[in-house]
Amino acid sequence: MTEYIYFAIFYILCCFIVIWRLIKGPTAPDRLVAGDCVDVLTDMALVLVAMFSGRGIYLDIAIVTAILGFLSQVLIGKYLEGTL
Amino acid sequence: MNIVLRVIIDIFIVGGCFFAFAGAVGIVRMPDTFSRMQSSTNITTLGVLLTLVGAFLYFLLVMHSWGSAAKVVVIGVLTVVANPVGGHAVARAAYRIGVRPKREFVVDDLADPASCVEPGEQAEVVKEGDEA
Repeated sequence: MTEYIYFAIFYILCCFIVIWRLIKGPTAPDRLVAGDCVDVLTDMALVLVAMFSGRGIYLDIAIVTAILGFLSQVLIGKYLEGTL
Repeated sequence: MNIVLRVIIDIFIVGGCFFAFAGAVGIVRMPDTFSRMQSSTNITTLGVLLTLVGAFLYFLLVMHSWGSAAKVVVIGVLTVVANPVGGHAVARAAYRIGVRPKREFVVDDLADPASCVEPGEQAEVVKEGDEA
């Protein structure tokens, strides 16, 4: 259906809003949280592209992106804390 | 395609887009680090869940694809379970490296040195069978 690609474009525009904080953010946890939000918003855009095109392969990419985003957030958090 | 079903799916996805936009604006506009962290959960709970409910209904009732619907459920469960854990790690890291909110804390449990025991220093690990 054609309207889902517009929702996907809206999620990518939200990504660009968050990327501004990723560039500007004064501390490292700001950048980490903004990067995780970019990851989650890209997930949602991939799900909407899968609904638009009718192909299930984008859902597999979304699953892998969700797992890698969680791992990177926890690992960089432990690294900043100093207990890695 | 049933027009009522399509309108219901679109309402769910528009709700998800609203919460995602609110979270993105909150990340840009909030004054300090912990407020921005709180605003990012706006994206990762309601923004994700409403969109995934719409996607689940679409794949199940329009496309008749059980596999794709199961993948959508896996993405939702993974996001909802994983993001509080990551947020907890990031918040602890932000406190440890010296980031403080603008207003004073009402309760500051991490400032008590007995409450944050490093593993290996003072923690008493009691295994099963060690009592004897």
